[in-house]
Formats: sequence, C-alpha cells, structure tokens
Amino acid sequence: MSSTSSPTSTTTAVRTRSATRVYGEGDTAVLALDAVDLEVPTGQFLAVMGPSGSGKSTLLHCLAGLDRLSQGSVELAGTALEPLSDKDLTHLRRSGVGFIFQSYNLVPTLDARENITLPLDLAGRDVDGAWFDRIVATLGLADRLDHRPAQLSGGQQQRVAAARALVSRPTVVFADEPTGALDTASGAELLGFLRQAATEFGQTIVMVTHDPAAASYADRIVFLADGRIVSEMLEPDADAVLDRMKSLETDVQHATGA
Amino acid sequence: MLRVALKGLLGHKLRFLLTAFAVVVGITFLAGSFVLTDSIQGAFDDLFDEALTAADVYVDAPRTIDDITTEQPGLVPTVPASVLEEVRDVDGVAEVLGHVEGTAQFIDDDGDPVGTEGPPRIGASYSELSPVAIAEGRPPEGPTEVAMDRGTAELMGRGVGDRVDVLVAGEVRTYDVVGLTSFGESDNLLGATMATFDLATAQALFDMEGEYTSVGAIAVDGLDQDELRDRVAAAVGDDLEVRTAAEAAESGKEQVANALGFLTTGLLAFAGVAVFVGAFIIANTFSIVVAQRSREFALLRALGASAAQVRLAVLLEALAVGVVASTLGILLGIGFAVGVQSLLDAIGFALPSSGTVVLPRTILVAYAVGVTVTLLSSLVSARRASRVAPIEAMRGESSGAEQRLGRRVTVGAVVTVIGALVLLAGLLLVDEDANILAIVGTGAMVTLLGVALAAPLFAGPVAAALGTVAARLGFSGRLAQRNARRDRRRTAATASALMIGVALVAFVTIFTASIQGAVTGTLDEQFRADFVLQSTSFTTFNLSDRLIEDLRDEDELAVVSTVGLAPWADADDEVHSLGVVDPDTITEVVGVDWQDGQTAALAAGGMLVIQDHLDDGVVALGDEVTVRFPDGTSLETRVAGSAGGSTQLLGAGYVMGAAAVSAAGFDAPAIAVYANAAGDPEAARAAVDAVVERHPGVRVQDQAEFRQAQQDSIATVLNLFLVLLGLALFIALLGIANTLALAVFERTREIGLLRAVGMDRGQAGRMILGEAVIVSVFGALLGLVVGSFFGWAVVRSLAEDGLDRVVFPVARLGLYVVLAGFAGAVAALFPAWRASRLDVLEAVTAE
Ligand SMILES: Nc1ncnc2c1ncn2[C@@H]1O[C@H](COP(=O)(O)OP(=O)(O)O)[C@@H](O)[C@H]1O
Ligand SMILES: [Mg+2]
Repeated sequence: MSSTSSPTSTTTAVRTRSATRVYGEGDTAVLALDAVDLEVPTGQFLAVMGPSGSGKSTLLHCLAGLDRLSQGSVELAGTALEPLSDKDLTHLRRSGVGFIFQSYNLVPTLDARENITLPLDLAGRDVDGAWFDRIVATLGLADRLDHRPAQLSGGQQQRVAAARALVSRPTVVFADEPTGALDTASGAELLGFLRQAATEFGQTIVMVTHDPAAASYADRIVFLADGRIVSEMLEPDADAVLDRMKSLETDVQHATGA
Repeated sequence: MLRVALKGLLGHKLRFLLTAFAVVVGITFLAGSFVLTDSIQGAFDDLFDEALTAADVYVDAPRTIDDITTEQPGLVPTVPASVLEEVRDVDGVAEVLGHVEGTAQFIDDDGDPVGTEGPPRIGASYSELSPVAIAEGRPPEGPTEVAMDRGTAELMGRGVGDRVDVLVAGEVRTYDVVGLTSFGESDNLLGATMATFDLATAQALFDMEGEYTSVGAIAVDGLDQDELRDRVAAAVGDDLEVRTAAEAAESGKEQVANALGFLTTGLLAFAGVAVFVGAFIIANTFSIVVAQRSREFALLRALGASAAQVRLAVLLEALAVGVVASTLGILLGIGFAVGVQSLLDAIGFALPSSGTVVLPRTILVAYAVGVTVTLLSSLVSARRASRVAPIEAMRGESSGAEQRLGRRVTVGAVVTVIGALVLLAGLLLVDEDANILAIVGTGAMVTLLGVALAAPLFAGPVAAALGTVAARLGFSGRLAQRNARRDRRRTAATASALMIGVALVAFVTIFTASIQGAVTGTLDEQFRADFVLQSTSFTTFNLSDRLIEDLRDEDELAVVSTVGLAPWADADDEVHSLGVVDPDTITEVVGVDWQDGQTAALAAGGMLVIQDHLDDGVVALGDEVTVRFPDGTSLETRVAGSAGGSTQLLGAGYVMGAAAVSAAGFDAPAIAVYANAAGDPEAARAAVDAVVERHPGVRVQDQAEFRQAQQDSIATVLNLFLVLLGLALFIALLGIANTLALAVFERTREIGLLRAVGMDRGQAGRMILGEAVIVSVFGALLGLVVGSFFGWAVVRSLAEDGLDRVVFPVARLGLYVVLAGFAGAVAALFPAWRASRLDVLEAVTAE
C-alpha cells in the first residue's frame, strides 16, 4: 500500500511488487503477506516491525529466496527470484545474501573461523583476508576464532553469525530477530555492529524485530500488520517507535472493535 | 507408561521400522534355517515312510560302519541270494522281493554324464521295493529296457519310446526308455539321477549275480510286522539285519537327520552372527533415539514420572520392537525357506515336496531370541533414559564437543584381552572337537565385543586420518569428517557392526588362503605324477576297472597307479579312511616322505600312517590293528611306519597296499588314478584324453590343471562363506543407513542452516555419503585387524595339521576395505537423498 522510495537512493537492493504469500488452501488459507510493495535502497538498514503473526518472518524468507511468493515478485539487486531454480537460489544464498537467525546460527562441529568462512568454503571461493580481518576485528572476535560454538557465549555466537553474513559481501544481510535470544548488552553490541556495517561498509540490511530499541538502530522502519505495510518511519528513535506502535495498536483495536 | 511407550513408537514409524529391521533380518535367517531343514527332514520322512511301505520286513547285510559316507554304491554290503529262499520259507511270508542298487549314469549326446556334480547317480532294480514308482509307461523288462526318473528325462528331453545311453561299470550301453519314475510326488530327489532296470539286468550290471542289496518280505494278511520280523530273524540268523518297515524308515530318517544336523548347525551359526550384528544395530539405534528424546523424557520426569517409569517406557518400546520384528522375521523366514526350496528346484536339486514344516520350536526360538536380543540391547539406553534429569527439559541443543571416554575404553581393552585369551586357550588347550568350536566362538565373540567397546578411542584418529583424504574431495568431505568425529561412540558402534562381518570375512579369507598356500606347497613337493584321473562327481567317485585296464593298455604311459579309498572301523567302532595304494608304483607318482623299507612293508601287508594322524592316537607304531570294512570283511595288520607329508594325494591318513586289502576280500573302489608319460608328454596326454573320451564322467588333469582345480575348490568354499556372511554385512550396512537417517533427522536444523548459507543439494548429499564412507572404512579396518588376529591364531594352531604358514592376501583384504567404503556409500544413499531434499525453510525453522 505505501510504496516509498528513499530520495537519496541511487540503486535498489530489494524490490517487491504486490508480494503475496498464502499458506494453506480453502477455508484454512492464511494470507501471510498481502500485496506488499517495498523497495530497499542499497546501503539502507531497514527494520521490519509488527505484532506477532503479522508476516515479518514470511516477508524476510520471501525476500531471501527461502520461501516462494504466491503472487507478485521479488527482485534482489535487479534479479527476479521467481524464475530461479533451487540451484540458482543456492548460488544466490552463497554470495547474494547473508543470514543471521535468532538462534542456532552456527555449525557445532566447526570452529568460529570455519563458521565465518562457511559460505565461501561451500562456494569454493577464496577468503579475502583483509576483509575477513576487518570484520573480525570490528566484531572483536580475533581471539575467539579457534573456539567451537559450544565454547562461545550467546553474544559471541551471534557476532560470529554476523561476521559470516558479511564475509561474502552480500547484496543484503537478512536478520530475523537477531537479538531475540540475547541479553540487552550483547544485543546492543550486535546492533551497534550492524549499524556500523551499514554506515561504514554500505551494507544493506533487512532486520526483523519487535523491539523498538533494536529498531531504532535502523535507517528506516516499516510496520507490518496482517501482512500489509501499515506505516513507516525514517531515522527513528526508540521513543518515536514506541509511540507509533501504540498508535498502530489502537488503530487495530479500533478496526477490530468496530 | 504403556501409553507413552506406544505413543513413542507410533510417533516415529520410520525409526521404529529401521530399528526392527535389524532384528527382522537375523530372525528371518534363523527361522528360515529351521523351516528349511525341518521341511527337508519332513519330506524325507514322508519319502521313507512311503518308499518303505512295499514290504513289511527288510533283510539287509549289517552295516559294520554306520555312516552316511558308506551308503556309496560299491560299498553297500550285500545279501546272498540264498537268503531270499530262506525268507520265502518262513511261515507268514506272503511274498518276498530282492532289490539291488548301484551306480548308473545317464550319458547325454555329448558323451557327458547328466546331472550336477554333487548328487548321486543311482542305478537300481525296479520292484515294489524301489524308492521310485512308475509314473508313466511301464516297468522295465529284459536287458535292453530302462526306466528314467522323470526329472532327468525332462532335463534330457527324453520320454517313453526314446532311447538313452547309460554308463555302468565303465561301459556305455543304449537302452529303450519304457517308463518314467517319480520319487513320491517329486520328479527328482535332490538332483539325484535314477536309472531302473529289471532285477536280473541290474544284478548283471552291478556284478551282483546271486546277491541283493536288500530283501523285503510281505506278511500274509493279519500278521503284524514285529511278529514277522522275529520269525524272519530266527530263520536267517544273526549275521543279517532284520527290520520292520517302520524300523528301516526310522533309521533312514535318522541318517538324514544326522546329515541335516550339520546343515542346521551351520546355518544357525550364520544366523547367530546376523543376530549378534543386529544386536549392535538395535543397541545403537536405541541409544541415538534415547539421546534425541532426552527432552521428552526430562519433560516426563518434570511432570512427575519416576525414573523406573521412564525406564519401563523404553523397555516396553523395545519389547514391542522385539515382538513385531520377530513376528515379521518368522513370516519372512518361512518365505525364505520356500524361496530356497524353489530355487533349488529351479537349478535341478528338487526336494520331495511335502509342504513347509513350521515346528513350534521354530516359533518359540525365534521369539525368544528376537525379544531377548532386543531387550538386552536396549537395557543400557533404558537406564540412560531413566537418568535424564528433569532440568534437561529446559536445556538447549547438544553441543558438538567430543565426549570423554576413559572408563569405557579401559573396560573394552580388558574384555578384548579376555576374549583373545579364551580364543587362544580354546585353540591350544582343548582337545574335544565339539568344545573347541564353542570355546573359540565364544572367545571370538567376546573379543569383538571388547574391540567394539574400545573402538571409540580409535574413532577420533581414524576418522581424522580418513577425513583428511575426504577433505581433499571438497568441503563436504571436511564436514563429513567432523560429523564422523562428533559422536565417537555412535560412530564406533555403527562401525563395530560392520567390523564383525568384516572380521569374519577377513578370517575366512586368511584361513582359506593359508590352506591354499599349504596345498600348493604340498603339491609342489609331493605331486609327481604327470596326470591324475578322477570322477567328475563328488558322490559317485569310484572309477571303473575298465578305465584302469584301458589306461594300463596304453603304450604312451609308463606308470599307472591307482589309489582306492575305503572307510574302516577300528576296535572302538570309530570310522576312519584308508588309502589303498599300489606299493610298486606309488612312490613314482606321489612323493610322500617315504622311508627305506616302507613300500616293502606295504607290499607285505603292513599299514603306514601319515604323521598328523599318528598324533591323533588312533594307532601307534608297531600296533596290531583290526581293520573292519563296510561289507563286514576285516583284516589284521601291523602299523609298519609313519610317513611325513599330507594325506591329500594318498586319499587318507592310513595307507595299505592293494593286494593285502583284496586278499581280505574287500574291493576298495578306486578314487584316483595317477599316470606318468612313457616318453613324449603330449603324446601321452593325447592317449589319456582318448581313453577318457571313452569313459564319461572321468576327468584328467595334468599337474597345472590339478593344482588349479584344488585352488578353485578352496575358493568355492571361501565364496560360500562370503555369501553367508553377506547377511551379517547386509545388516551392518542397514545399521549405517539407519544411524545416518537418524542423524539427518537429528541435524535437520543444522543442515537447513548449511543450505541457507549456500550448501547445494549435492554437497548436502555428499556430506552424508562421506560420513558413511568414513564410518564403514573405519569398521572395515577394525574388522581387518581383528580378523587377521583370528586368522593368525587359528592357522597357527593348525600348524601340526599341515598349515605351515599364515598367508595374508593383502590385495584382497585391501579390496574388502574399498568395497566396504562403497557399500557404506550405497547404504547412505537414502539418508543422503533425504538430506539433499530437506526443505530449507522448514529445516531452518524446525524446532
Ligand atoms: N508454514 C506455514 N504454514 C502455515 N501458516 C504459516 C506458515 N508460516 C507462517 N504462517 C502463518 O503466516 C502468518 C505470518 O507468520 P510469520 O511471518 O511467521 O509472522 P511473524 O514473523 O510476524 O510473527 C501467521 O499467521 C502464521 O501463522
Ligand atoms: Mg517471526
């Protein structure tokens, strides 16, 4: 509904056109995404917010090529995902996108270094040593590289995941509640790093969260409700986000209560 | 708890099936072995009952040696014709019949004997006493008529009205086929061929004029068998054996039962190995499943279930698996037995069909073994499940850290040593044949258990080493290696199941290779003849006098030396074999370590004993020995000396001169003729070939051919073992498939993650395949080590019996490892396919 393009953008990293995702059929069908039009300019740090069940994860999965739209289209750096085969999508995941999940981000049998370089190793590509060192230094992981995930704290694990997401210089990094399982301090650390990645490295990031404080690190927030973008906000701060959420909630209550 | 247990089962049908399958295969073989041998026994029982209904009382010459090997045509003792008259005169005898049996071979258009090499080729007189009945046409009459068993007739494409060549006593004659016979319902009996003639013709052919192999009397109406038997016995005297039809049938059945006993024991041993391997798989599966369900158990505990209740739940699940698997195994086993029977039928070894026999014993044993093994295998896991703390319900995923193994490895090492000692003790200290097998078998089993316990210790380094190779093959190889190392116990347990099979395969390979080595050595040293002639049949192995005469007539041959074979009984009724040789020529064809005067001693009627047999303690140097032959004749001899070398070329461990044996009135059938060329070897070969051409069923081999044939026959034994052990290997591979399928299930989330960050389907599949290859190669290597030890120990312990060196066929053993790797990969195809087909989104969002 509210299709917005940032005035400063030169290229578009992600674009959807009436992206629609229906789960199930007939009576039990759920409209998880309802004709979403969204553009994310390159270098933008976008937060997706909304109540539980509003379609945030579905949107993220569809953008990242993990899930298929029922209708509409998604473009990643100008490439439409719909016609891609499983093989093409695999290649896209290796180099075009990076992931940070809420938990279980790391392969337990690999140490931190191996986990970080995993996408490159799987692709059989060489690691850019300088870039690797820079990410690792920025994330403060230099002395943890030989550790197995089990030997790392939750915050460290998420930072390793972030490093892995960035190591292949993807078009977009997708993060689904990356701080959801972290304490406040570790969460802030990670978010600070994502912010830094956007600012310094020009990394496009799409992050799902329901935490206003987390969202306030982003350049822009879109609010989802019932699979639609109902509102959005630029250069947010936590209080403004909270206010907006409250107003949206009352809107919804009005709508349902009517 | 019962409900929880059942829910656990039904919730995971695939897992349940996979677990059960390991038991199913073992029980199938177990039940199948029973059903097969019981059915064969049942069929023979029926056959004996049916065949021996013609007469009420049978008179036979008593078997001095009651051993199935003496039921050889030519060795069966006969009854003089006068007995027939004596029986006829007995009050109460309505009718009396004489019967003879010998060897007769049908000859096909190419001049070769018809039929497979194993089963006997019987010739007999046709009467109501024959085991066959006319199924088509009429009984043979006169010297030119024959009746064929229907199986052979079909094989040769002959019928009533055709003509057929029959070889008896070295001479081929052509007969008119006037009838076709059958064994009860069956056209053929275990591949035996049967030519029936009228009585006079058969007697003439078998050189039994005035003799019978058996005489039957039919009672007048109303006289019972026992009464008639007593009367006949009184008339013919004590020298003959007089039995009622029922008694005769009983003793026939007993003989079959004895022969089948070996088969049953052998098959059950292999079934035992299969069940043993199956136990590993079940134990492993249960431990994986319990680990996967620890949160479920913790939740149960948190909700108030006691440790005992949790344990009970797991045991109930095991019980259910055991019962279902045993049931399936029994059903499949019956099918298996029926299948084997039809297979035998199809390749010409038809069994008399009288239905499939499933004894209560079969069902009881199958359930007992299946359920016990399953329950025992799940005990450790059940205990572990009951120890899951309620708090673990709240805990996250298990880590990838390696476990500590300390105590388990120590226990494993101790158990291994104990097993090895028991095995060695059995080999070196025990004298009783029956006990050796049991003790050595137990030792081997304990050793395998010990190694399996200690195996996790090696899992790390071996997987690392193998993984280094795998890593060369790409990143999936590296992941495979890490996965193989992440749970060393599981890897070791999976590999151990394969180890057992491979250890036994390696053992048999080393053992047979060592025998081959010893045989080659013996032949190199002792086989001096240019040619050896033997029968092509295993059961009809005597050579005709006519053949020997023909060879003696050949100018191209300088030496023709025969070796005969006779079973003989000593004073304790123990049966041994006697090689009967020609003292004048034997040293020219067989280079046994003859000492001065020994051939003279043979010529003078003395007995020579081969060194190994002297050690058996049946006779000692200088002993006076009474030798009793199957037909009741006997002789006195003196043990004149001992010779080194092997018994193989002399036919037996006890050797006498031919003249002395025939002087006692016994004709030992010739089983081999050795011959040396007079001049040109090629001319001699041509001459021998020409003779053999005239004697179907005889094979000539020169030194090289003979050697090769010896090697081949040992290789055949090896192959038979490999086929039977294939079952254990199959179960082990099933275990690999099972473990990896569970691992894929367990690692859904991880595989999803890998796929999400760019692993393609091929890589996911290869990761699983790589792990399978590492596990199976690890198992095969362990098996090689243990099997080599078994082979070494057993061969060394037989050093005195002529196995002078341990031969390790390195290339072949290496090939087993490679094959194990391949087989492991094949076993993992399904789990690998599952891994590669995982839906990425579902996997990353999985619980
Ligand atoms: N695989 C699925 N099958 C059926 N319904 C689904 C599936 N995934 C998500 N949904 C439904 O789609 C809607 C959006 O879910 P989701 O995107 O996970 O929401 P959010 O991440 O905002 O909590 C919800 O109503 C959810 O129940
Ligand atoms: Mg969500």
